[in-house]
Amino acid sequence: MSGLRLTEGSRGPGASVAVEGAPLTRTQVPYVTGSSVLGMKCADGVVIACDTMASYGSLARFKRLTRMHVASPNCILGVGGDYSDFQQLQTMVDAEMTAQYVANDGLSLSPKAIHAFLARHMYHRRCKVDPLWNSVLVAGFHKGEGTLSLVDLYGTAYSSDVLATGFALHLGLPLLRNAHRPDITVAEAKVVMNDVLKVLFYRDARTNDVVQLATVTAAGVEVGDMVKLDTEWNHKAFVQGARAGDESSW
Amino acid sequence: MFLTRSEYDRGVNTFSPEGRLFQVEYAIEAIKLGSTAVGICTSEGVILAVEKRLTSPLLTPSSIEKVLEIDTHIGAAMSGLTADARTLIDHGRIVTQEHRFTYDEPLSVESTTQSLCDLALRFGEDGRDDGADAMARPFGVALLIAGVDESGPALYHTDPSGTYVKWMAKAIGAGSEGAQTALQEAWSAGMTLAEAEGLALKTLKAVMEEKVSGENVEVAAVTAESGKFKVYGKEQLMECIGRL
Amino acid sequence: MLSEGTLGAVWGPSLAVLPTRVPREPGCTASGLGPISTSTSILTGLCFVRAPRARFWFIVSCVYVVGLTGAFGRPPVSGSSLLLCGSGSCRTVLAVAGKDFCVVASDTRLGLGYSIPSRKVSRILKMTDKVVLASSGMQADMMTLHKTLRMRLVKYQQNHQKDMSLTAASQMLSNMLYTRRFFPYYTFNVLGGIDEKGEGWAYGYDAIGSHEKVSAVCSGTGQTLIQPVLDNQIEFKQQWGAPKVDLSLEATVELIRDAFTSAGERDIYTGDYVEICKITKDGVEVEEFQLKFD
Repeated sequence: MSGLRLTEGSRGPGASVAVEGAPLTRTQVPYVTGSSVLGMKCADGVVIACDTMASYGSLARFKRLTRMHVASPNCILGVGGDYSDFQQLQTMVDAEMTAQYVANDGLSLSPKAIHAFLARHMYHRRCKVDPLWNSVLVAGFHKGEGTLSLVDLYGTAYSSDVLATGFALHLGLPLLRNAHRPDITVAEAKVVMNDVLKVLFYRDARTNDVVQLATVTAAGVEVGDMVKLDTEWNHKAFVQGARAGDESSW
Repeated sequence: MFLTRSEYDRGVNTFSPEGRLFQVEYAIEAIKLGSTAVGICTSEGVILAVEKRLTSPLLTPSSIEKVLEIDTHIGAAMSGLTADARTLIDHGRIVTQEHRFTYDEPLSVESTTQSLCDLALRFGEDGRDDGADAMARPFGVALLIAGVDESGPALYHTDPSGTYVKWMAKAIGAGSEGAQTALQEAWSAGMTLAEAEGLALKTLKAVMEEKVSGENVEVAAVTAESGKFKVYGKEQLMECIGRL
Repeated sequence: MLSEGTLGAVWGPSLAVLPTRVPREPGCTASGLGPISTSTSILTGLCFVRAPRARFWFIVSCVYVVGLTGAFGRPPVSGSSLLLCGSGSCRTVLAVAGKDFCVVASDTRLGLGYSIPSRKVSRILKMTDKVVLASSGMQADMMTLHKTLRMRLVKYQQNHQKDMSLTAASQMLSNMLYTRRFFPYYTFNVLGGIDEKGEGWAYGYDAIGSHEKVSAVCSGTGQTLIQPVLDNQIEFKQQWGAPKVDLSLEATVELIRDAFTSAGERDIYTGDYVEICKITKDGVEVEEFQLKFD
């Protein structure tokens, strides 16, 4: 041994290489991060959407990355937060799905089961004080019904008709709530998603204008191509500043 | 050459071709050598009575204990290899206390019996991760477990195979055959606890070689009214015998 | 994710920069959380904590800091509050017992800082036909606790051929919380139901299992607003000379609706919907009641 040893968590300044005797730490911050993910449950399926950038702090580090992962023929994940943790999550989900396949018993995990599985894993990691720094939307379609759920780095897990993570929790979720109706269709929801992604691109500095939408319906998962948003920068507030014309002393 | 029996009677992990586990059956035989014990269940409570074999006048009778308390509401009488019963009773004491710790309530009589039978059935297993030792053979003891819980008084019989059965009146040990017949004839549903007490002693008396005295029998009762299990003291026991 | 680089985000007096390397303290084998151990000594009465692992220091100080700064009124999640409520604290829960009934209620808002990630997250667990639990605090811990409880309830039912009684459930919950004494479930529970005698009772818990049998209890952010009202209206506290009367089930539910409406008016973390579980000898009936969405 060289006298150096790798610590359990190997990312980050507090976590890289520990000198013998020095304290051992784990990931305390995410590094390469994806921003928001949006999701909406519709009458005929579920839509999730996100942009395709991964930032390194304020640097737009990777600009054409997918933040979605097809977990099964009827379940897709949309992931925000640390990108390397997302990659580990993919490996783990794939391994679990493979294990189910290998059992050859004709059974596979339902979207609800995948969500529960992720929730237990994320909670376990946070209890080890070594979390996977992500928010995950799980969208699925099973037995004629769409499901949309969330898991985050603490193991928090719940389902809802509309969900948003990251910055979209502030700027996107209210728009989604306004747009949602129980009878909204996937086609309509895709239009809504595009609009919300546009709003996010305008105001979230960790977002780019190339986005990806995915749907899960009775026909299965369909992941869209990366599409460049059609943006408009001539709005008065953008040109003159948001408070242009304000007379208040506030 | 060999009797079929002897080829299959060494291990507890092997069935004979007829589907028997001889070691378990031999263990049940061991009980037939034990002193007689009877239990009688009534709506008012349960009586346990056992014979104590005083093999020598130099022996201190009170040092032979064949009726023991498991929890305040449950007790057991034994017949067979009484040393084995210690392990069972200890286990019962632990599970009842653990149940009180976890749920702040007494463990039911059936659950207590079940947990004793779970232990009795561990013969043939390797040691466990939880530290429980491997058992070389089945326990050579049968128990009459008497108690009261929310569903009233109950009497259970357990044997070395780990089987338990609920009885209204049951005799075990050397004199069990005669005693059981006597109980079957005399037991009635409307019996009082005092009548059961009398019947228990009368039954023991019939199958014992010695004359019944305050030294050579032990009696215990658990009543629905008090919910407590009590082994009779000398005075109470003598009163009982006096009524005989 | 929003605030990457918030390694030292501080909301309490003590959770200073985390990933600092400090010389190892004797008896503390793996502390990367140096400043926190300093903070424990600031907090009087904590010097007895000599856990050998870093996370013990961390958690213990976190728990006490929360106690000091107020568990809920803090800014959104940052790196240092990893172990605490995280995304989604569940807010107000209460239980009110009557002579032969009990009512357990909770709002369904899931709050994260000033956001509302979900308006409908249930935090009520129907344990048996006579026992209902409601948990405020961290949603992930609550879910884990409820899942574990469900397992225990089924096992108990199978082992003993009966449903767990209210007293048994209350003791078991306390024990389960205490087993995580040094890494607590960040949940504040209220348990309500009918006991073996048919009487309604409520139990209030702290995160590590201390509990009290009462007739009315409230936990969570609405606690300070609602508990005094329950004290006054259920226990007749401060109503000198007024004859104490037992409220009917209907009157109790009405009181609870008013309590939640009032809490929702002033507590930003309470709102959306209230689930009200009415426990009587006939079983559990759930009704839902809407609060303001703001």
